[in-house]
Amino acid sequence: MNITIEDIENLPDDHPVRVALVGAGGLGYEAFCDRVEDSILSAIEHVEKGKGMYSKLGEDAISCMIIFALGKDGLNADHDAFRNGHCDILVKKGRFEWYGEAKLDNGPKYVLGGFRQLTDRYAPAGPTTNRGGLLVYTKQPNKLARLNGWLKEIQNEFESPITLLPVCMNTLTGRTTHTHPASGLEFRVRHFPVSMYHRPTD
Amino acid sequence: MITLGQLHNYIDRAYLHGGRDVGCCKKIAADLLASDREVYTYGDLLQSANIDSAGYYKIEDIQYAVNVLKADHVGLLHETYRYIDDDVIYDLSLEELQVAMEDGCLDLELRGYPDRDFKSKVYVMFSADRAAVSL
Repeated sequence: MNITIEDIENLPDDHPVRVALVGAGGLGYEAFCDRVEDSILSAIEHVEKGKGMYSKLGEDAISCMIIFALGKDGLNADHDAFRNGHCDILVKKGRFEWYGEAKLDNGPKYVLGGFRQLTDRYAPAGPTTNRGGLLVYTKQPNKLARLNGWLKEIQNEFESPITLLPVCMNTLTGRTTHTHPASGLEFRVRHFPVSMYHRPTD
Repeated sequence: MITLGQLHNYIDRAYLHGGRDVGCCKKIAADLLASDREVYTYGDLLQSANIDSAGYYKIEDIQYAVNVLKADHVGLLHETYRYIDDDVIYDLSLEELQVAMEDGCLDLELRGYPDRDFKSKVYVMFSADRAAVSL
C-alpha cells in the first residue's frame, strides 16, 4: 500500500495518519497551526481539571506542562527558544513556526505587554511564521470576563488597528488579527485564558 | 543511540495507556533491525506487522507504531517524501514539500514544469536508521 499526500488529505480530520502528517508539517501551515492550537486546548483542559494541584505553580512550570503535552501529541515544541528574545513556547517543523507567549494574569496592561512581545519581538510574520497564541494563566474568577478585558485593552492601546473576531464560546478563546509592521502580512493571534481559580466553598 | 533494552522499554511505556497491542510495534521494530532495506511504505510496515497475524493490524495500528519509532528519543524511523512520476523519482525534503503545499505546485527542475498535481505523486515513506539502536 503506497499512500500519497492526496490520499492522506482526503482522510477524515481525526484519522491518525492525517493527524500525524499535519503535525509533521506536511499538509500546510494552516493545518499545522490549527493542530497546535487544538493540542494546546486539550492541554488547557487537562490543567484546568487539576487546577487545585497546579494553581500554585508559576508561569514557566505551567508552560512546561503544556509543552510536554504538545510533545506527547507528536509536536516539536520548545520552551524559551531564542527568537530575538526568549519565546515561551515555540512549535517548529521545517519552515513552519507557531509562537506562544505565556503570562500570569496581572491585569490587561500586563497582558498587552505579552501581546507586544509575541507580535513585535518574536514573530517575523512571514508566510509560514504568522500565527501565534497568548496564554494567560488567571487566578481570578470568570475567565471569560478576563479574556474580554484584555482583548479590549489590546484593541484600544495597540498601535496598529486590531480586528477582533467573536469569542468562541465552545472553547472560550478569542482571535485577533492585525497587519504586522515588519512583513505587511496579517498576523493572527489566538487568545487562551487558562483558569487557575480554585476556591472551594465546601 | 539507545540499546535494544531501552527500545523495548520505550515501546512498552508508549503502549501502557493507549489500549493498543504492543506486539505491532515490536514486530515492526524487530523486522526493521533484522533487514538491510532502506525505505519502507505504509504497506511494507503493514505487511511486516501482519506476518503470522493474518491482517489483524490495521493502518491505525501502524501509525501508532510509527509515532513511537520516529520519536526523537528513539529515532529508528524517519518520515520521508518521494515524488514519483513516470521517469522522474525525487526525494523531497520536508521544506520542499512545505513550499509546494503553500504554493499549490511543485517546481522541480527535473520535471521541467510546475506540477500542480504533485499531491497525487508524492508518497509518504519511511527510512530506517539502524544506527539509532545498538544491538
